[in-house]
Amino acid sequence: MSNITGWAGKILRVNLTDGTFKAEDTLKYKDFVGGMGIGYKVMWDEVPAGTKAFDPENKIIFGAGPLTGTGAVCAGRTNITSLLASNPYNAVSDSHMGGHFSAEMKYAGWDAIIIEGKSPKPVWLKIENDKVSLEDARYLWGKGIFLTTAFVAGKMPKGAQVAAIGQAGENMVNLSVIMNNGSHSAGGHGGVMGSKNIKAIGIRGTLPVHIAADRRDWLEVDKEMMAVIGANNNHVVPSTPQPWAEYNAARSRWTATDGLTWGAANPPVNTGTCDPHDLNSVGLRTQKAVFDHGAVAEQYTVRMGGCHACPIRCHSTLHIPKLEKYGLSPNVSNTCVGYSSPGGIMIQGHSKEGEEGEGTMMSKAVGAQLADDYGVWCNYSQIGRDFKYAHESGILKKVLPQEEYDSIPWDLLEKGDPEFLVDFYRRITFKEGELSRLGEGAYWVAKAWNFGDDYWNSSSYNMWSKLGFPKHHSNETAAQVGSLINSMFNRDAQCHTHVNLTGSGLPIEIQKAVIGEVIGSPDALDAPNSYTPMNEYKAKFAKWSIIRNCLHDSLTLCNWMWPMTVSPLKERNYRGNTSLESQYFSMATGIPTTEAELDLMGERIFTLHRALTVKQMGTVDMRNEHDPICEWVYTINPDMQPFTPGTQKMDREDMQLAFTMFYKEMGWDEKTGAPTKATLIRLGLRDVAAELEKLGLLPN
Amino acid sequence: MGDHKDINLLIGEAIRLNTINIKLTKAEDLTMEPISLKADEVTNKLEELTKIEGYEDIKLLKGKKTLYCYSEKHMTGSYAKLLVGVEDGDLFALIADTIRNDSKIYPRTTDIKLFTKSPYNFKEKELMDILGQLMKSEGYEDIKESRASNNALYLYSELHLSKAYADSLTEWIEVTSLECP
Ligand code: SF4
Repeated sequence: MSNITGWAGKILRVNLTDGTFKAEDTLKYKDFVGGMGIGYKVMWDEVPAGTKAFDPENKIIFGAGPLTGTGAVCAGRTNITSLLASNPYNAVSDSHMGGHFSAEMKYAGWDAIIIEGKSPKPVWLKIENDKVSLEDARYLWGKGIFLTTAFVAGKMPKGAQVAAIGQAGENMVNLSVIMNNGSHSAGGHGGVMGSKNIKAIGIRGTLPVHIAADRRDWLEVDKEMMAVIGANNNHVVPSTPQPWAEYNAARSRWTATDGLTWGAANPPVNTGTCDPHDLNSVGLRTQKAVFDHGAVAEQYTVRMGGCHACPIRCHSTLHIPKLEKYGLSPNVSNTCVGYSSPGGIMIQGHSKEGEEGEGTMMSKAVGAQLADDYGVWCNYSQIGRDFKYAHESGILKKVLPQEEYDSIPWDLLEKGDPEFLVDFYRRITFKEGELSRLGEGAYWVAKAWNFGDDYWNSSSYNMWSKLGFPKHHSNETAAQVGSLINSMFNRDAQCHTHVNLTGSGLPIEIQKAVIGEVIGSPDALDAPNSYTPMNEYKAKFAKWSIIRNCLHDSLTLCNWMWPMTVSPLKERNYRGNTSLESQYFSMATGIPTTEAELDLMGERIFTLHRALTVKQMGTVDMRNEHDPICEWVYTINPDMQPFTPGTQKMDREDMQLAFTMFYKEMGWDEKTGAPTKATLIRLGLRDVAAELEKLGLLPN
Repeated sequence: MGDHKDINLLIGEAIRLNTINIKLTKAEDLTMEPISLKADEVTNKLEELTKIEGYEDIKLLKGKKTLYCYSEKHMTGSYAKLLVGVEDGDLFALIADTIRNDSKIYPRTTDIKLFTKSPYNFKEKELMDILGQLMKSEGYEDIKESRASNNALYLYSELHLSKAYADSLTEWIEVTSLECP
C-alpha cells in the first residue's frame, strides 16, 4: 500500500449495528475513480433493490477522490452517496459538500467512509488517522449543527473537521442536510444519518497525500490551471467594464471592481480591478455577497470563505448585528441557494424597512442561519415554491387542521418579517403538524395534499420531473442540452459543466467556437433563448457535461468551477484547457491517462448510476418512467412556436429525438433509455449486466 | 539616432503609464514637456512609433476631437473605445454603440444601470434625460426599450433583436436567472 499515490489506499467501513470497523483496499474501486464512483459501486454491490432510505440496510458513503487533498485546485468537495428519501423510489443520489472534510479524510488515510447498519444509541464517529471509535452522542441528540460541531471539535485535536446533522436529520426529515465547516452543506441525506443514529463525524489526519509526479511538473500544471481559471462558476468576464477586459456581463460572478469592498473587514478590502494576470487577486474576483444579496451587503461583508484548495472563495461571511434580534449569531456564512432558498419561503415579499435590499438580505441571512443549524434542505429552493403553491391554491387551508392553520404567524409573513422563518423552520425540523409535510419533498407533499395539474404544469413552480425535483439549469441553458441533463438524475441535476460555459459572459460566437473544438461542432450550442432543432452535437454536449460532472464528483473537484472550458485570457482567445483533469489525475496516481480515457471512466460511473436507477425502479422504461419532463416546458409562451427567438419552449417531438440521440451517444437502448448489455460490458460492468439480466432488467 | 530612441522611449512610457492609470493619452499631451513634440509632427511620430519593434503595444484611436493612444498591454481596445466615447462627449453614440454591440455579439439587452457605472458614470437623472432625447433622435431609431416583469428598464437595438426576443432576454437577465442561481 505504501506505493499508492493520489489515493490514500484505504476505505473505512463502519458497522454501526455491531460497532466494528474495517479497513478495505481502495484499489478494488480504482476503475470508479473515487467519491461518486466508489459510492455507486458500493450501493450496487451491497444495497439490495427495494431498500428504503431510512432502512438499516441502506448505506451512506462519504467519498474523497484521488485529487482530494493533493493541492489540485478546487479539490475540496466531499461526495455523499445514499438512497434519497425525497425520491418516490428512494433511488440513489449524491449530495455534495464543500469545506475541508474530504481533504481531512485523505490526511487521515481514508479515501472513503462506508457507514452501514444502525447504532442502538446515538453516537458520533471519531477518526484520528487510523484510530477510530464510536462516541456517545446522547448529549448531542436534539442539538443543532453549530453546537454539535463545536462540541465534537472540542473533543478532537486542533484542526479537526466535523460533519454533522441537525435536528432535521435526527427526525428523518426527508429534506435534511449533512454539513461541515459551519456552512458547507450536502442536501438530501441528513435523515439517513439520523436513521442510523449517527450524529456527526469528527476527523483529524496528519498523514501526507502522495503524488506520483515530480512536484515541479505538478507546479507547471498548477500554473496552467491558475492561468485559465476565472471567477466563481468559471465566469471569465467581469460584471462591469474593466480596463483589462474586452467583454463584460452584468450577471457575471466576477464582481470585483475598484471601489467595491469587503466593507466589514478591518480595514475594508478593496476588490479592485483584478487583472487576470495578477494571480494574487484571484481570491478577490468574486465578491459573492453583493452577487447574492445586492449592493446592501457590501458593508456587512467581512471576507470571502470557501473550500479546501480553492482560490476562488465563493462563500461570503457577513457580520449583520441585526441578526441578534432573532436570537441568532450576527455572523453568517453561505453562498447561492444557501441564501436564496430561505428568501423564497417569504412568499409574500420582504420587509421594506431599512436600506434598499436590506429586508431581502435579512430574510436570507436569518433563514440561512436557521436552516443550517437545524439542518434543513430546500430541494433546490422547491420547499418555498411548494409552500407558495399550497398557500395560493387554498390547499393549505384545507389540509391543515384549523387550529394549526390559525397558529401560523401569517401576519409576520405578510409583513415580510423574517421572524416568520423562525416559526417555519421549527415546524419543518420537528415535524410539527401537517405543515411539516413540506419537509418530505415535492413528490410526497404533492401526493398527500393532492396538488393539481397546475402545480406540475405551470412554469411558476419550476417542477422538472414528476419524480419531485425542480429544474436546475435546464431548458434555458443550452435548450435540449440542459433539458437532457435535467432528466437524467434522481434529484435536481447538480451539473454545471454546461452552465459554466453559457454563463461565462463571453459572446456567443466565442462560446460556440470553443464548444465546437471540444465536442466537434459549434452547432452543439445555440444563442440564449433562440434555439434550433436537435442535432447529434447537442447530445454529445449533454453527455460530455454529465460525465465531466460525474468525474468531478469522483476525483473530487468542484463542478462549480471545473472543467476549465474557457479562460479570461484574450491572448489565448479565451480558450481554457479541458485536459487539466486528466493531467492532474495522471500525475497524482502515476497512471498515465488521457482526457478520453478519463472521460470513459466518467461514462462508466454515470452508466452505473443509470443501472442503479433501473434496478431500484424495477423497469427498463426510463424514457417513459424516469425521464419525462413536466408539461410547462412544451406549453409556455402559448403565442410562440418552438425554435422562435424569444422562447425556451421545447418541442415534444424534438425532445423525444433528443432523448433518442442522447441514449445513442451513451450506448443505451434507444427505445427505453436503459443501458444495454453490450455497453455495460464495454464499460467493464459485466457484473452489473449479469445482475440486470437476472432481474429481467436489460432492454431487449 | 540616440535622440530618437530617447523620445520614443519617453512617448512609449508616458502612454503606458497613463494606460496603467486608466487614462488615454491625447495627441496634444505629447506637445508638452518633457516630450515637447511640435503639434504638426505628433500624428506622424505616433504612427511611426507603433511600427517600431518594442512598441507594438501602442495603439491609436481616432476620436471626434483628437487622436488618442493607449497601450494594449494594459487596456483592451474595447475599453479604450469606451474611454474615447467618454472623452469625445458624443453621449448618444457612446450609449448606442454599447447597446448595438450587446444586442449583436452576446446577444443580450442592456441594463440601463450599466451607464451609471465606470467609465460611463452618468448620474441617474442625467442618464434618463439623455436616453429620452436619444430615442427621439435621427440615426438612433433602432434603439428600443424592453422592460422586465419587475419594471427594470433595458435597451436593445432592433437591428439585431426582435422585440419578443429582446423581452425574453431582459426577463432572463433581470428576473429568471436569479431564481435559478
Ligand atoms: S468555487 Fe466555491 S464551492 Fe467551489 S471549491 Fe471554491 S469555494 Fe468551494
